[in-house]
Amino acid sequence: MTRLTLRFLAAATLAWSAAPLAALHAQRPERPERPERPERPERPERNDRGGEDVTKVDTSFAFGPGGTVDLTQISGNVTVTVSRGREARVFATTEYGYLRTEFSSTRISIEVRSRRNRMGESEFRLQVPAGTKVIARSVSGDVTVTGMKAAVEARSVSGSILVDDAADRITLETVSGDVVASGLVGPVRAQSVSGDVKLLGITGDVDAESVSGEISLRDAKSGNVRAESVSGSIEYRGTIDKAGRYEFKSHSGDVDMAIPDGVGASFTVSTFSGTVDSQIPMTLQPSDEMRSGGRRSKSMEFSVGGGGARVTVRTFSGDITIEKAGARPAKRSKE
Amino acid sequence: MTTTMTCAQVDTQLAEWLEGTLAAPAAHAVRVHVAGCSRCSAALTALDVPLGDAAALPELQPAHDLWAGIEERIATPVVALAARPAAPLVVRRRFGWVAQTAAAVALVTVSTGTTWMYASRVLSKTTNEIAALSRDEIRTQTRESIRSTIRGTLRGEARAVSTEGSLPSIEHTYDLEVGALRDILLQRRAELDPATVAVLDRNLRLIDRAIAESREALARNPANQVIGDQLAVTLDKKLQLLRTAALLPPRA
Repeated sequence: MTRLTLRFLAAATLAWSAAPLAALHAQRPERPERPERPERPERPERNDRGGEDVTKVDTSFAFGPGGTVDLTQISGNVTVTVSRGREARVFATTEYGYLRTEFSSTRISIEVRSRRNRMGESEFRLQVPAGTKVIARSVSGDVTVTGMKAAVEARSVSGSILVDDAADRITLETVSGDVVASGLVGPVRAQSVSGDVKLLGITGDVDAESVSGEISLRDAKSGNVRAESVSGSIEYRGTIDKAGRYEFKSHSGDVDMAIPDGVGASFTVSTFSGTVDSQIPMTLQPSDEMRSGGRRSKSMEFSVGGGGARVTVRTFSGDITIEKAGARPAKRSKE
Repeated sequence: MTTTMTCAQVDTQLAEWLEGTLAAPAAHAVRVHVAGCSRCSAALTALDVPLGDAAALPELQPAHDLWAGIEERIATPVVALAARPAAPLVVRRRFGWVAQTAAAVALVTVSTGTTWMYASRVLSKTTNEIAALSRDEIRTQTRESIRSTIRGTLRGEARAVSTEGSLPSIEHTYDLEVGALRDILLQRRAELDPATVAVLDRNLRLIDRAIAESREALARNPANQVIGDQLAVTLDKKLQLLRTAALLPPRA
């Protein structure tokens, strides 16, 4: 507001003084014409964060590991990859909007904003040292972050989230895109509404949710896992920690889990109208079997390896399959 | 020595400042910045946060007085909850993605009935305990609190169906909250991408169908814990989706 006011005052002053100056100029003898100066590039404006507002950035500068990258994109992709050494390379552009930037040796912040309600397409491409924390958001673009070995917070609305090699706290959220991530160390929270959530190679706690998308957790080494969906299927292939807690719940999606040999765990497996197939012997609890509208709901509890971990698998109408890791999938037979 | 903070730095430290857990020099720097920055002070005003050191606020007694205030604002019946021990009030808020969603954040935060459950859960802890919690942990605890309450209500509902035929107030509260969030989504439809709105609608219908199936099954099997638990999860899922939708950033 202040800047606009200053601009207005400057323009008004110039307009007011233009006429007398023109008259004065007309009275002076003509000077020989000077050669035209090359046009100066537009000087970026300083913003209130000490950064600059521009439409394009293409630069590199010293940037240490342990810094933070904070990117806010609207319509376009965000890509962050690893740079060599202690250097950051930043390329960002916007079609009609402007970029609000802030660069230092420990922090990179780029936010795209509209100009006269126009923004168009934008693109952010960054290379930063491994160990940089990345916070990246886009409304309609994909967010890709690879090789950071540090905390990653990636969100999109209609774009997909693609992350590889992240550590510490990892948050991956989208609405209609997929979440595909691998090489994750640390607590992971992954969420989509209609897209799939596919995580491969996870060490640490996992919290995965979807409504209609599939959830697939493979090569997991996690002590605490929670996966929930409404109609999407759920797959878990990974270790079962003796002191761990594992919950897989879906309304109509199938749940498929593979258990490694030598696991000590207590299972509670329940479904209202789905089927349960298991390669592990289990005992049906008669007290929990109830007749309902011609269908039987099933609730089973069993332990393997002397118990230990708590494993809960529950569906309303989805089928449940529990198999031994490495074994051929159990043949499903509807009851 | 006081260092000058930028808006971005304030954004990252705001939650801790509001909680009073920020170190004194940093807290001072935030306070100085907010006092002189129209953007940050406007954002805080939008969130209805007093411009001062939150840590200096007097301790409030949550108990049922808090619920009464919320109840008045959303015109919903009081949910019978056990009295909680007095504990210091800690305001945990989150700076929105963009300023435009600040109003939606405030609306969701204030108008939702489950805020009480969240608050009662959080307020029963000491400041240090809360400081030790991460946002995800709080989210998990909130979810568990909501589900536990819904499960309890469903069991009560199942028993009440045959005797009184009336729904407990928590059910009504839930419906009100869902209605309020749906209204927000309705108001925001024009600023969201139509494809995203279609995805949200499709998935909300999916959840509604799942809820209807579970309710029907529960009516036939009032004591079936599997159905009751699954219904609680699905009801919670609907709430989560509506909240997510209400806080989505607008399209370009």
